[in-house]
Amino acid sequence: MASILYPQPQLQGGTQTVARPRHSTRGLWSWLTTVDHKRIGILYGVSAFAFFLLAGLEALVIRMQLVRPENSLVGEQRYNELFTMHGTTMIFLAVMPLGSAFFNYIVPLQLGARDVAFPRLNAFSFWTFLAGGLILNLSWLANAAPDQGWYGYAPLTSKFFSPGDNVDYWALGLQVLGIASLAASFNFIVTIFNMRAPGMTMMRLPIFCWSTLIVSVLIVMAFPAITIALALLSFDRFTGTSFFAAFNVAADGAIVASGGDPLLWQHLFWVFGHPEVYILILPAFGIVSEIIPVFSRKPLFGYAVMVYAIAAIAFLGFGVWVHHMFTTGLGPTPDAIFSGSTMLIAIPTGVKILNWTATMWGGSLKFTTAMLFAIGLVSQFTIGGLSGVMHAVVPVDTHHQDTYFVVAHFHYVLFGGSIFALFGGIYYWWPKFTGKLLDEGLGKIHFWIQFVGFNLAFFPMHFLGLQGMPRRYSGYGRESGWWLWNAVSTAGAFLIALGILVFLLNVARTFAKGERAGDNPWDAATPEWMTSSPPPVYNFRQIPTISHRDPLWVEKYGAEAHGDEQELDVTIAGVTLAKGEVPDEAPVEQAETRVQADDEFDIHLPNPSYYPLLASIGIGMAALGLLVANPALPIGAIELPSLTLAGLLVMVTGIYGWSFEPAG
Amino acid sequence: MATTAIDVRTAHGAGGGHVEEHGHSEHPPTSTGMDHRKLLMWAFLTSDTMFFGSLIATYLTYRGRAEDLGEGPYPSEIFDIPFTSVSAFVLLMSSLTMVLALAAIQKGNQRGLRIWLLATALLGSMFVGGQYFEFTEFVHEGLGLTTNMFGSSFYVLTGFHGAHVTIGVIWLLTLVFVSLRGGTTQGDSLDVEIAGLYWHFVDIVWIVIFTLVYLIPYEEVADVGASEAAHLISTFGRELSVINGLW
Amino acid sequence: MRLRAPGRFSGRSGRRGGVARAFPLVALLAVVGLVLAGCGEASPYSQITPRTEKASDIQWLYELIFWLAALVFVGVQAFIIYTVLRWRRRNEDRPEQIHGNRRLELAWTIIPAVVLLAIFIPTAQVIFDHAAAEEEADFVVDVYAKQWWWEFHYPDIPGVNEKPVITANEVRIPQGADVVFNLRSNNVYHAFYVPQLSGKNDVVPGHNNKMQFVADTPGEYFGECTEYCGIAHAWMRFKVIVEPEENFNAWVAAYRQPPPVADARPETADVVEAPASFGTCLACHNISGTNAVAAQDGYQANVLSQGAAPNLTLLGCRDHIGAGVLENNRDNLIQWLKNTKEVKSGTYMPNYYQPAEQGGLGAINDQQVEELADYLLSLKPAGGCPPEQPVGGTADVSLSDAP
Repeated sequence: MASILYPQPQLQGGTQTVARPRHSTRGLWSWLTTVDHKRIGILYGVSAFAFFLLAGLEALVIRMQLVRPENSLVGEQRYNELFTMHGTTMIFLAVMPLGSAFFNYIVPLQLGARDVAFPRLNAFSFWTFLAGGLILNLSWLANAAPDQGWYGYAPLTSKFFSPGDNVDYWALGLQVLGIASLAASFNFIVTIFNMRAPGMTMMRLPIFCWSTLIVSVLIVMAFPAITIALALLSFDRFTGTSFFAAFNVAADGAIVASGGDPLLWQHLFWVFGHPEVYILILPAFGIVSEIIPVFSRKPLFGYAVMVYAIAAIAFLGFGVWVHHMFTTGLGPTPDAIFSGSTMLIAIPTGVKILNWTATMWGGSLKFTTAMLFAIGLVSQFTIGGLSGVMHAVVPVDTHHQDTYFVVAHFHYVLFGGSIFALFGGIYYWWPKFTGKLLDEGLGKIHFWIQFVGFNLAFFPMHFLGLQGMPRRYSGYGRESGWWLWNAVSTAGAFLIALGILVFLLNVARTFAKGERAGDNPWDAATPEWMTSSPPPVYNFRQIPTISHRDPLWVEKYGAEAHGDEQELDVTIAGVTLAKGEVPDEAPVEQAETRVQADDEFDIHLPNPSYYPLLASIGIGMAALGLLVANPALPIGAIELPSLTLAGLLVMVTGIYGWSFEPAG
Repeated sequence: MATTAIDVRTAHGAGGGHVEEHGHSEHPPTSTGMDHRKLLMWAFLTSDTMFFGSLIATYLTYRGRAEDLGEGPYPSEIFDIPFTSVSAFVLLMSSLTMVLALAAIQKGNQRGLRIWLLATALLGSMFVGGQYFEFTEFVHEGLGLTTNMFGSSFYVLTGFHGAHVTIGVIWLLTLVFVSLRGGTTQGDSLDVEIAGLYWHFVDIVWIVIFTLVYLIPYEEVADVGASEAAHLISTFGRELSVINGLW
Repeated sequence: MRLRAPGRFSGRSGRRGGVARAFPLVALLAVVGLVLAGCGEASPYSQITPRTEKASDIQWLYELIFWLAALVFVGVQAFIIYTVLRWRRRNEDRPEQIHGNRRLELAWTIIPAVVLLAIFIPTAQVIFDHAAAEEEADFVVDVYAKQWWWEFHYPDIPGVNEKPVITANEVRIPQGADVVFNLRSNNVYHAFYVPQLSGKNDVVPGHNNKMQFVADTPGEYFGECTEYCGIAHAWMRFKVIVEPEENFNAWVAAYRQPPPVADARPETADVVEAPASFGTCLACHNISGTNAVAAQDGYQANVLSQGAAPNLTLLGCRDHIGAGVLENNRDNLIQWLKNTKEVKSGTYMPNYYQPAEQGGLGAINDQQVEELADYLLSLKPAGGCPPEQPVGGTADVSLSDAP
């Protein structure tokens, strides 16, 4: 049986000349059918950034509406749509896929691999993500944008209280995005476990790969909860069950108890939702852990502890979901237990902050834009972390819950954390993506505007919270006293927008006349810099052999100067991942082989394929069929919309075509 | 170096079969030694455990609500334990035939492979047929999807499992089809092994569902405490057990 | 169109001290570069001006965690800033390659753990204390959260027609009562939050959450819905009025009496009739002591407020209408009746004034609207409304600082 497996190079004595890639690398079709992890990474990055700008614009409208009391820029309904879509878009369509962009582009390079384990599955993940993003945002065109909050608490989402299509766009969009996230995560788990270069033990893995691995595990284990929750919600909406409704409501408003419980939605949602927070932040931690050592010219302080800290955060992340529910009346015992478990998370997080600072301590710090963003995360995330500990104190949380204090908290974590780090990653790896350096002067202007704007926008929200301003209020009266800090916050938001404009200008300028970067402009240490910038389609002419965590520094400055890495063995499920006979091949000779320019060879690469795209289109059609008006066809006892049926057929065709496609 | 030899030993040597054919064992084809697809299946099954976990937690939360509200039919009135035991036994037997199918192809026995795969698919189909019959009976006895919370959570949970078995049957038949057309080589036993992993998983899940849904009476669950506490504990307990099992 | 009269309380500056006290955080954040003049602009929704023992307990915890956090914040930021300044690149030499320090890393694992334990113990104590206090409270108020207003029942205080005293959006509590609110909803989630009196509790459909506190300090306290509940979530405000017991009793006594009536209106033995223009309102709004008695209330009330709208007894004494959307006066009542949906988006009350082509029912004319406004304002005790209490309570009431 032909398989969906990565095509095999024929092995012969370990080395061989293999077939030249024949497919075109230019034009739209090549992008639609690409299975190259680097191109897929770029596709993720570009589309996620577009969604980031969209969600940012939504935020600006929100801030404009709140700039003064009794404002009427947008009506209540539109306002509710805006905050729902701002949250949903930022989380699922901007921050997560921007992380994926880095996973795709950087992880295989850091592993010393030529692609991910399942390149076509990877393409499928991207196209499915795009389909989900488009479905969500099509709701604007249908004038049915989701308006129930990104967390969609039942029973407000029930057919009775939300009779329009708004909730369905949201639920189906998220389901499609869930498929994409799960597929991508399976792929990265396999890639990172299985495709490491020789000598790269788990404890020599670049730390960004560790964060990718753990984020993937989190997605694999957390997304099922929301998938099931959304499926049950769809049952409630389409078939009349009442999984999440305590009452069945007749059309005239009369009620009868149903036996369902809206708290079940909260449990299922937050069992997903809290790990989701770490899904958003851990890639940022990985990026920062790559940037700080490079610009400190020192290895990461306490590599092993940093790895354990990520793992501990992820593990504990599954045991704290009730802290989103402290005001739902679960009783003192659960409240106390989850208060304790939430506080525990502060410990590994604190270790990370201090270890990053210790990495800089005694170093030789160069303040590139990437480094500024990384230090920005270390400093700003601390604020979000400390207000997070405040929320673990249940009685205090009963004040902070659902007020702007919480809004301030998670923007410090997600903007001061994730977004800062993602921008840092963009500045750091831009030369790897394009071969050109982003302008450092504009970069620093961008950083400082964004830094000031960010604090101006979000720090006053702490005050608004203390003044009792609840979240999701479309307006407020003069008696509230909330005017001043709302106005300040709005000014900050526009400053952030200005910073983003400077960034876009920088990108445009760099495309026009950017400085050539060279292969390793930052004197970085990790394997992605062992190949040219941008890398050739096959990544490495020769797969590197890894004998240290920072192979390029050892190569350049000698193992002696590099010092002892404090190896720690890691055994998971009986498989020893950290140990291994490590061939200590002469690194210098290796480097020579790697960089020799030579066009006289071929490396066998997977053929492009349109089947992943076809399968994704099928999924998109199937979901859309449930949302837009189209004739229904009876299939046995149930009626399916014809577009959905057609979509399912297209999807099955895609998957079968993909499975039986000749391997390369 | 006009024709540079490219070292392709490491990163992409994915299929276990190929390596054996070429007799190269000093470098494992993958970093862990486990095939990509097999690892993928394990990752998928981890995820699927959480899917079933969420549904089982939902069922345990709601199974008693029908009694609480006095809206029948109740589980105790409607389950036909002997019948479901037989169909559970059928599904268990299919795991045995799946093992035999894998054993056959590992010995290069094409015919054996096809026979045992077909037997597995047949047993799986019998199980799905039994479920269809069971659902029809329940509907006749007045338990619809929206009759009460027990009905809703029961049909969704067991239906989700039935869908898994159905997909498994289609997969097995595809393997038979491939074997008939091209002949499955000994080296392709991995394809069968991965299908087997999935099949055994679905089987084990049924044992859990059968125990929790059919065998344990509602009263015992109710003893845990108020429905709220039971709910919290079942959700939390599932979380812990899954995490402990997989990390 | 947005029609909103200036809020009644816009002129009040309220209390400055409490808010300002919690803002040393600002001083720490010199990086933000904010000019701090006026930062303590007070709010009647302030979380940090407690007026009950319970809120003071929480405030004590908040201050504990705030100062610890401030300490950690200053320490970590100083560490970062010092490191960044001290170790900037001065030459091209490679610094010493340090891979870690087990002892140091162990230290900054254990020290935070100890600090967190120090926070956790009082936290758990307060959690359990507050839960226990719910059991002891004896002044019961049942709260029914609606889309988008609040109904309050006093189950232990008989009203009229064998029903308890029922009111809407403004709840009165006698000073010193150990009050417990039973929070119920038969529609969607809401949250019941009076920042100066207690932390918030969600109103979960199908559950009965409780909120308890001892109402020590007389005053008017602003409350708000803090769980998103649909289109008019921002306009689901309420008030808790803590007043001396004799005032409360007078209000209850007035509740049971028929409203004082103008001479022209017919009167039977113990029930007066509402004016004819009130006829359509009768189906949904009750006024005790009149013939307006048909409306449903409580848990089984209609979710769309059909036949189940706010009880209007003694409406003339309420400060606002539409759950905080407008001050309660004649002009605003007229505005509400003429432009119901524009004043408050999503409200279930039909517009009886506008003609059908504008989406209304066209049942009443200008003159009737004015008559209704006059009538509604006349719904107050014969001896006048209970005296006003200070917004936010009085600041100088001494509450203990520690639990």
